[in-house]
Amino acid sequence: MRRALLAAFAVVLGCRPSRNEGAFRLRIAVVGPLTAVGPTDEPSASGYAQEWVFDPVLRTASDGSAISGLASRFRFLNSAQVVVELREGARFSDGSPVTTEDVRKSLHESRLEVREQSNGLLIESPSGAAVEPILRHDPIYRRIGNSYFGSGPFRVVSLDPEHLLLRRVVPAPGKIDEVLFLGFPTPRDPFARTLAGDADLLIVSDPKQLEFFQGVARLRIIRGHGANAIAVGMGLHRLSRAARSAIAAALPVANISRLVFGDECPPFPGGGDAKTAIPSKALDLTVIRNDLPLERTALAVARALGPLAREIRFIPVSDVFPLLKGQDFDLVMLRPLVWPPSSAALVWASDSPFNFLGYSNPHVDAALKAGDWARALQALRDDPPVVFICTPERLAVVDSRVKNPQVGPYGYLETLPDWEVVE
Amino acid sequence: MNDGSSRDAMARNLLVLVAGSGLLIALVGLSAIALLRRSAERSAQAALAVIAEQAAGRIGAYLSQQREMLHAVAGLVTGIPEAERRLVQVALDAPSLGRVTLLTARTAADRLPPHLAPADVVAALAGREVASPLYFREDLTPVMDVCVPAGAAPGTAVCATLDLLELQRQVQRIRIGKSGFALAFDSDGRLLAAGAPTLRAAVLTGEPIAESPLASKVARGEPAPAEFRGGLGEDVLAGWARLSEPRWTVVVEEPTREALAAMRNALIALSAVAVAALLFTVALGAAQSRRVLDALEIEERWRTAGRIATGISHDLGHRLAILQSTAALAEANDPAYLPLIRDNLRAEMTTLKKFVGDFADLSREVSPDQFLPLDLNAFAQSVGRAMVAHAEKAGVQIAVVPAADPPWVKGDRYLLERATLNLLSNAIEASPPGGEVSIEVSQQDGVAKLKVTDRGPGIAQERLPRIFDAFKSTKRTGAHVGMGLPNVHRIVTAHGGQTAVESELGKGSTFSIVLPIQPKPT
Repeated sequence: MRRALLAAFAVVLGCRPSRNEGAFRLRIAVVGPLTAVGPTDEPSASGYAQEWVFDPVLRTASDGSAISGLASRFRFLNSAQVVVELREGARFSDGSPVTTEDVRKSLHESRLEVREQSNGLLIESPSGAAVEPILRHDPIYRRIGNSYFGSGPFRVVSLDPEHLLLRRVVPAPGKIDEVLFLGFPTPRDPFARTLAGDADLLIVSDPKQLEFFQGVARLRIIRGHGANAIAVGMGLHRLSRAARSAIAAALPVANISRLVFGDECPPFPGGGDAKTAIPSKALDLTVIRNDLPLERTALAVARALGPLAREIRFIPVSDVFPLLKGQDFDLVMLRPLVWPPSSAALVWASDSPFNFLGYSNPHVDAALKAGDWARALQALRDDPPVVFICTPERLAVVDSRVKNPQVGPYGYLETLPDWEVVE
Repeated sequence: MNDGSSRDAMARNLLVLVAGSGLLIALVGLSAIALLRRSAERSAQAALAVIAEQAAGRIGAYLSQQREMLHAVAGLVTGIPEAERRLVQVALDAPSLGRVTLLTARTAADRLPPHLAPADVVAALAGREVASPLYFREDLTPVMDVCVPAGAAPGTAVCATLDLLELQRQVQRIRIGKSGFALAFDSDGRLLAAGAPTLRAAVLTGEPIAESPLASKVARGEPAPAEFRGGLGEDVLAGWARLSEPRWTVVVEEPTREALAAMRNALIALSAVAVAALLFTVALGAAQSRRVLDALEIEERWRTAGRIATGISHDLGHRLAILQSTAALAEANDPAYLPLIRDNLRAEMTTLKKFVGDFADLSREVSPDQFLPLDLNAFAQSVGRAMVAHAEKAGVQIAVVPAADPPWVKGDRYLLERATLNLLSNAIEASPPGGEVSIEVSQQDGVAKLKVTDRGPGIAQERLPRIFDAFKSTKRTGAHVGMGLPNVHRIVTAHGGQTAVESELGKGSTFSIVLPIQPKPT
């Protein structure tokens, strides 16, 4: 009798639903190899997961304003100082609480200082740089050995070059429980596997590529405003301020945008007059190989410049940063971050680690430190390092079972933890 | 009994007639369905082929237009340094031509059209138009390298990377019904564009699909299959079309179930109407037949009554004549006639008693719930003994041959006795003086058999089939209106048994009662 009862008990236990039964796993097809998700690791498609594993102090609302991230409350004293209250009970995925020391270490590389006060944490930039864009951008983490732990809704479960599995730290019924990144060797494979039904989400970089997904009932197309612009970068060492200003004044932005994208990419306001004289020698144009929109932009710029344009030079992606650092170019086609407006502080501030062009303009710096983004942009226009052409939309295709997918206002897929799924 | 058999036969005939008619209608219906299906298939395939031709025409026209555009661009080439510069700009004005470059003998290897075979490069420089297979650029745009001779610059060619996204659009736009689609293949059967979303992965990966081998056959000029299992695992109807240059094929498919859905619905409706009409006809026929059968039964009853009346009037008339002559003898008051008068009266009383008895038997109901177990051996001996006196009077001997193992049956002993006595009585009457009547009991295959055999004159073969029918007696003398054997048959069949007769003229007859055997009661 006792044995029978034990057997029945074992059967009942065996029949209990497992933790993952009915869990919704979203498979994302990307180009690999996949790398560790962390604040300082090399860039790869794993970077899309960073926003779900790590919380920044502040996040970005759809209108571009700063909203609560890890900080439940925040109050700017000035553009370089903010007092924040961390979210009550905030913990890393290993269960340990988020401390002031964690925030301090996480923001150290961005040269921000963190001090405890009676009303919260005072975060400030000793150099007077605007802290808001940094607090939106920098993740708060704790490093233990080679592992990074975040306080975001997901944690990394497993990783190899072809697979990255993330699972929600605290189950949320009706939402995505697991995300599995599938890394493929070529850009063609993520498309093929998504079409074949082996993946549920695909980032689409070119509107033309959506052609493949027309009529695919299993997938829906989502669009959102872009954060990166198509722009023509100008060599700061080779071109004088006068030459850069003349080029910016000469390039017909709206025409170039229309030639390259048709009506798909809203052009930046203003634009130049192709008849403006440019005090410069003939210009070479550099573009990343196989980035068709940038390639067509280069062609359109060359046409606008007329005889002043020399040959178009194609370079691989890996050569872009050395090229920018060496300033070995006249004109280069780029995709700089332009949204939200405060991101200008990341890209154009003299002391920003993300100022890849090495641009330095005291007027811009002063405006950025003052948090006056409009003034900073005007100062940029007066001494232009780039000519902004237009901001293409962000595109993705997502499984139709996801009810409210949307491209994130700042990070491409940062809203994914809030997506609801059909149960 | 005869009436019942007749009605059964009529019912059987009617059933056969209805079944036959139904079968015929079904055969005609099935043939019509097959013909309609084939006809619907052919028209669907013809329509699909037209759509495929139109799609192939549009794709061909698009490619021709791109080539013409490239020829026009190439015609403008005059000086090489200027041409290279200008050709690069063509991509902005004619995006579908992709990157346009000048090909000369001095073009560096890394600047040659990437998918053009070396032999084609040579041919292009020699002034021939050449094209590469379709391939996908890094940005996933389907493209094809095409080179045409440069107009005023011998030994040079203008090459473009034709953007074939339009091919995708053309093919993806084709929708047939709910889930029909088009596919385009190159001459090797590689899928170039797919209207079916789940097959588009094969466009990118180059994996063959179910239609690939068919497409390469069609490209070689072999007959195009119009019905096959498609790449989505479903039977499809298809229409094919070929492009002459490049040798691509376009197939437009529609799932067979969908293509023939309208025809199937029409057939279902038609079949429903036909079945309803058939059922109505059968019901009407059955009702009419019932009325006719009822009328026939009434008529048959009257005929039976007439035969009974004829038999009764014949027999009673005969009896009446004897009684009248006996009465005349009695009126003579001659004592010498008294023995004759006594014998006549006794004989007539016996005859009339049997006559009344036969009628009484006819009216007696057979009730199975009153059946009792019966040892057929003992029963035969009992009946034999009962008839010994009557047999001796006729100078006939009765022999009972029991079965080795007494068979048991279940029945109404009185009725079974009446039936057996009837057979014995007939046998005795049929036997010549000095003859023998045997009662033999046997059992075999779950049935018990009681056979009564005489060595009389026998019965003509033509009478045997209807010998158990009422009022069909072979004896036309004496008190026989033909009620005996029908009554035997009625009693035996009511016991779940059967009757049988074998006879040969001049040798005698054997009547058998066959009853289901029962287990011996414990």
